[in-house]
Amino acid sequence: MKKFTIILWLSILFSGIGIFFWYNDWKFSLPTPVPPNYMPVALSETIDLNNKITTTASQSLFLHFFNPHCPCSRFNMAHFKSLVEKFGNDIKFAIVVLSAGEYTEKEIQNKFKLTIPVFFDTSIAISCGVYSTPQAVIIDKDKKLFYRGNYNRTRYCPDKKTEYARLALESFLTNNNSVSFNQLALKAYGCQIPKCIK
Amino acid sequence: MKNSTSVSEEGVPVYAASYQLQVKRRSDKLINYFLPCYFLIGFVFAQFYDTWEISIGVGSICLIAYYSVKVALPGSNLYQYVLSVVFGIFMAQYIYQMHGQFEMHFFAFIGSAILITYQNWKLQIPMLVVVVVHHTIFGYLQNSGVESIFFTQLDYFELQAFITHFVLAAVIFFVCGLWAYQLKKASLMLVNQTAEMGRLQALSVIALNKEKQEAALEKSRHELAESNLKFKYAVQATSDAIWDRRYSENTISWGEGFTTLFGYDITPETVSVLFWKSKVHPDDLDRVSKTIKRAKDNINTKTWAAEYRFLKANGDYAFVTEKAIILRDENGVACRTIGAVQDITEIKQSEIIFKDLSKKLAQEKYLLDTLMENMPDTIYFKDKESKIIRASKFMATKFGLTVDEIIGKSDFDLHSQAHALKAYKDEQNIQQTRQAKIDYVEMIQKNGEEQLLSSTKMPLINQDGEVIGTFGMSRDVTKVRKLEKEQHDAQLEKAVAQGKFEIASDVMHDIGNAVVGFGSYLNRIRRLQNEDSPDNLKNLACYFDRKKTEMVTLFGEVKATAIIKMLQSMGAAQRNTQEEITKSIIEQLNIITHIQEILDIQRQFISGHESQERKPVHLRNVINDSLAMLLSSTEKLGIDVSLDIPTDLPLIKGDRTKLMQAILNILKNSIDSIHDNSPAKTISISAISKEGKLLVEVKDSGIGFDKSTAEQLFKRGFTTKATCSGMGLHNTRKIVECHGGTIDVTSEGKQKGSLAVIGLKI
Repeated sequence: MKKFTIILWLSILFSGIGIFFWYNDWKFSLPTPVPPNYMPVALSETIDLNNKITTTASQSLFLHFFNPHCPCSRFNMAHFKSLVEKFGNDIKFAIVVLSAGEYTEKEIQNKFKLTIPVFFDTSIAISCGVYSTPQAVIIDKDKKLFYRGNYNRTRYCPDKKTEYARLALESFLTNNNSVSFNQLALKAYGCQIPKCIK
Repeated sequence: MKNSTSVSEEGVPVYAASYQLQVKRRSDKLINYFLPCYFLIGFVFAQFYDTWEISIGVGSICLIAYYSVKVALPGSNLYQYVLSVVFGIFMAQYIYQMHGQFEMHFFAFIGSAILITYQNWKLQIPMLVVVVVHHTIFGYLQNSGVESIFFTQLDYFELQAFITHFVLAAVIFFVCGLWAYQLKKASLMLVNQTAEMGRLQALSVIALNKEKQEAALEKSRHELAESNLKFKYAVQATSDAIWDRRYSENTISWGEGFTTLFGYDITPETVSVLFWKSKVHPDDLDRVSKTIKRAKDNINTKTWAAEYRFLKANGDYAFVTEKAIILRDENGVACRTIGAVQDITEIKQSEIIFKDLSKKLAQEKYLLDTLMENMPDTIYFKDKESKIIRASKFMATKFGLTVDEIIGKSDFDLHSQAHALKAYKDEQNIQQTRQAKIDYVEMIQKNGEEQLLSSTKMPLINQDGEVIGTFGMSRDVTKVRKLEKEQHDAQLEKAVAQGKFEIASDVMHDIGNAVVGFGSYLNRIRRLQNEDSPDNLKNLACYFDRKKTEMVTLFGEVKATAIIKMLQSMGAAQRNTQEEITKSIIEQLNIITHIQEILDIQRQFISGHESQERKPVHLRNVINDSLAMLLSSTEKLGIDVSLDIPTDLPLIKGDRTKLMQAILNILKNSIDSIHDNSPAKTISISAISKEGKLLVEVKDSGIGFDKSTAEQLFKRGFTTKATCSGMGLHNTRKIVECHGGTIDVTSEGKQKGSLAVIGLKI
């Protein structure tokens, strides 16, 4: 009887552990809830940044929407950095910080160990139709939205086949418009933008 | 293991078991450090990607799993296998927290290495199983294309990679398991070798000192035999039954004492534990079984003891007490219990009797204490030397001492020398003669006053019939005796008064008869006196005087004149005498009337004592009737009588005749106090109802009386009037008091009138 009780007890405990793992995994696999007042911005739509980010006439723009407090954002810092290192000469990279915390440009640059521009204006996210972090946005030299979506199907960004941002960037730079992305790429996954941003 | 078996007779397994127990304890202690570290490492990793829920939830459950099993089954090694699983889970937790970081897999190696400490290669298996099962299931699911499973960063978890992964892990676990096995083997070998060396050393010593050893052995054998014999005799002497319970066989082996104690023959049936259980009293079985289980399960318990009732072959239950030692194997699991059972029925019965006696004794003590504490009498117990060994609180307080302080004192400390000496002699005499001195009265002096004590003293005899002192009590009967004397005197006085009363009644009766006769004679004399005219001699003298001439002629002038003068003087003397007699008769008749009045009053008084007739009486009518009876007197004296009596005056209960007599007496006194020449001649009568009483006031303007008279007013026979008996007010007061009322007669002084107030109950 006692042995049976112990076995039952251990089964309950180990089931609890299983539930913990499953629940955390399931929670992160859900898409980010769409904000109630969200204004959709379609691909190829012209983005008006009101000269908040200046580029030369021939320069396209890669915006990385980043929140240091968001675990998902932190997951792919290395991946973003690899993109900058690889394509830094072909496109202008910039980081848009969407955080409730106060950071300086230098602090953000130190986190990535990059010297690319850092912006704290949340209206940029609204203009681009971004409502989660991390998100990648590619704007061509005509200010048209080429890509807005996730970096990867997984949180860890190790899946080469689903490195959506990289694939978008490569097709953009090679003028290959034939690449199409599924919902896993375009439907925003990750952390919600904090409601109160200073 | 073979080596262990070969030296088992030398006690090597004991060393091995002890060593393994040490390993277990040391390893448990180490795990108590490692596991919390594992838990805290989860917190360190949580900081990277905010995986706090996982670190707290999974880490806590792992700790609970390990420690709960360890506490629940302290004698089992199951918790060590749980620990192995927990290490596997912690590794999975870290990998999850750090998003599959390869380095996290090293925790499998750390866990595996830690488990070596238990020197049990089997502990590697649960962790290996966790790793294999986890990788197999999730790898299979991912390869099957289940979208929600993300298990590896590799696109496709190939079988080759899986096998490589598994083989490497298996190698690690195998190597660690091998080290655990080798370590245990080497350690046991070391222990065995040490034991063997000890044994060989002993053998060599034995070889060198064989004769000495043999002699010692012989001596030991002799001592052992003697010891066994002593033990046997001791067992027989103590009537104990030795038993040996083997848990693996579920048997109890009984010694010879079992048959002696309980009357059962030792048979295969009696060896069964069930037999023992069937004989334990049903009310005790559950309790005893629980104590056995508790002692057995607690690894630190070495002995067990219990008391219960055991059914004997003759059908009686015996009270038994058992004491036993618990033998355990190398894992601390109880395997045998050896003990002795002793029949304590007589002791138990003695205890019950003792408890009963104690209870009765306590009750008796309580009763005695209550008596000694509360009785208002002098109660004491004294030893042979008449020193107090126990005294009542009343006695101690009487001498200004506490109950404890008076102990040890004697009468010489408390009373006068004379009294103490007398009491001492009395008590010594009582002890010698064994004769009690019951209810005698003695007188002592206390504070200068005589005090009467009613005392009783008896010899104090113990259970063996020996006189060990005296005891007794005394009560102060001074007041009782005084009261008895007063009652006796009162009865005596009453009897005397009654006798006097009866004599007086007879005397009065005789006097009354005599007076009546005397009165009738006086009236006859008076009548005769009136018939006998005193003028006859005077008329004869006048006749001779008219016939003087003839008388002179006949007797001569001298003689005639002398005869006439003699007749005249005789007539005058007769007249005077007759007047005097008449006056005296009238006085005598007045006196007789007075005596008759006195007798009438006395007769009324007697009849008043005898009759207690009570009827509703209207006092207003009584007063009016009384005034009507006295009307001639008041009119003759010209007294102005005023009445102030309400018509609705309440009725009272009483004897109308008696009350009228009382009112008449008061009114007569008032009338008598008013003389012809009094300046004012008034009598005012008023009556009111007040506070449940009816008050009658009679106020006159008579001569009044002074203070000395006032004090004697109600005294029997006291009077201020020449022709009165002095019974009027005395009788009036008796009548009023017989009616439960009061009377008061006052005056402000002579010539100032008087006021009589009668209060009667309504």
